[in-house]
Amino acid sequence: MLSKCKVAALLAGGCFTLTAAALLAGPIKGEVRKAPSTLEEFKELHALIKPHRTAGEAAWDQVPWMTDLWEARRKAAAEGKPILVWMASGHPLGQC
Amino acid sequence: LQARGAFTRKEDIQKARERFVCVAVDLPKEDDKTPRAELLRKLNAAAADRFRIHVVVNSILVATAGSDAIAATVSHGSSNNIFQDGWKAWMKLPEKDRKPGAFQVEELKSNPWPRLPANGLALRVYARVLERNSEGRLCCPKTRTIVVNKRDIVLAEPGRDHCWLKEAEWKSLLPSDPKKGDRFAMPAAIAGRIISYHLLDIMHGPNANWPASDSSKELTWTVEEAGAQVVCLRLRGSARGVVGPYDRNRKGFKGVDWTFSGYVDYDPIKKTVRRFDLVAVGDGGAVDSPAGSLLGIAFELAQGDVPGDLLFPFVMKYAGEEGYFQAK
Repeated sequence: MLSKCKVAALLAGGCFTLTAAALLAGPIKGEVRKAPSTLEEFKELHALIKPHRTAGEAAWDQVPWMTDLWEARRKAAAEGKPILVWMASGHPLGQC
Repeated sequence: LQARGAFTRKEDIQKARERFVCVAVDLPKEDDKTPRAELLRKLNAAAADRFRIHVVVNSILVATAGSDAIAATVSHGSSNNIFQDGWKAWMKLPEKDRKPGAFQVEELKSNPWPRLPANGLALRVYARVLERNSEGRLCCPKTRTIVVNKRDIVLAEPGRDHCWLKEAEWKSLLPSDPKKGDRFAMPAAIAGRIISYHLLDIMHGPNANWPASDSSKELTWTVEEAGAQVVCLRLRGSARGVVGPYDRNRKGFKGVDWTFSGYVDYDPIKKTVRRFDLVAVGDGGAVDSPAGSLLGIAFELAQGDVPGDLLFPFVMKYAGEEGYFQAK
């Protein structure tokens, strides 16, 4: 049987999960027809596909990423800072 | 894609900016034996050994300039503490090892990665699964989050890539004596590049379903304005039955029909492209998406104001520059 603490932890976790989901899934506005016939419709469709920054997308774009680990090492050594390495199979800033 | 979920809180982004030198890297191919590739493998191995994580997938680690991994995570949600843990691990190091100039990084020849050809055009490419609402209009799916590792909820953002055009290619779009109402077909090199390599569902990871081919296409540009200050071109058209190599094994699959629309603005005085906005919507373009099969692809000029604008098209990692530019 689950202890009260565990139940509380699970409920808290569930609340966090729901809250996180709600925060992450901010509203995205915009609906367009399939083939835009005017410039305004085209702009709407273009914007619909691109990142929606007001809805929390592409927040990681605000980090001044370098793309060369060697250059990052040189900069870190010169400035006395640690290196945060974001690694993926595919480029994290591109197709990954 | 998934690790992007670690960068959702403002305070974490602030920490990343202030405390760390941040670098984003693609894992090298197995046959890549260059010093940069070997260094990444060494970091991977050290992190896997020390932190018992499988780093082949998305991971974030903290290392010293001397390439010592001091913290690592594969937790992708906004709950992850790599910024805090990495900083704590760094501060535990002796001060003499942390001060500027404490470590000397040897010189290394410039990186061997492909570079945008002289006067070439770099375009950002975004891909997003779309839905159709009850009125038949396109919109974003209501469910926009995905669960990673059965615990982390992350935002399913549009997939990203880059498209490169050589100078001669983008210039082939411009009529020598444009007049309002003139119509002409999309140059084969540009149509081939886009259809072969960029109509891909890359929302949930790299997609190697290329090069694709089409059964027919009708992509027509119309000159909407031909002034001394600007030449405006409008694209309309479709590519039908676009099929990638993996699709050929799908029973009954007849290819994706893509609808194109776009605008290009050229400045005849500065001889530069001001705008290169394209959209393609494909019914059947999305792969295994619970939201449906509609996929939207958007292209726009890379302005060079974000680090990712320097990246080469992902396909080049495997097809090479020659393969990419030869697409017809």
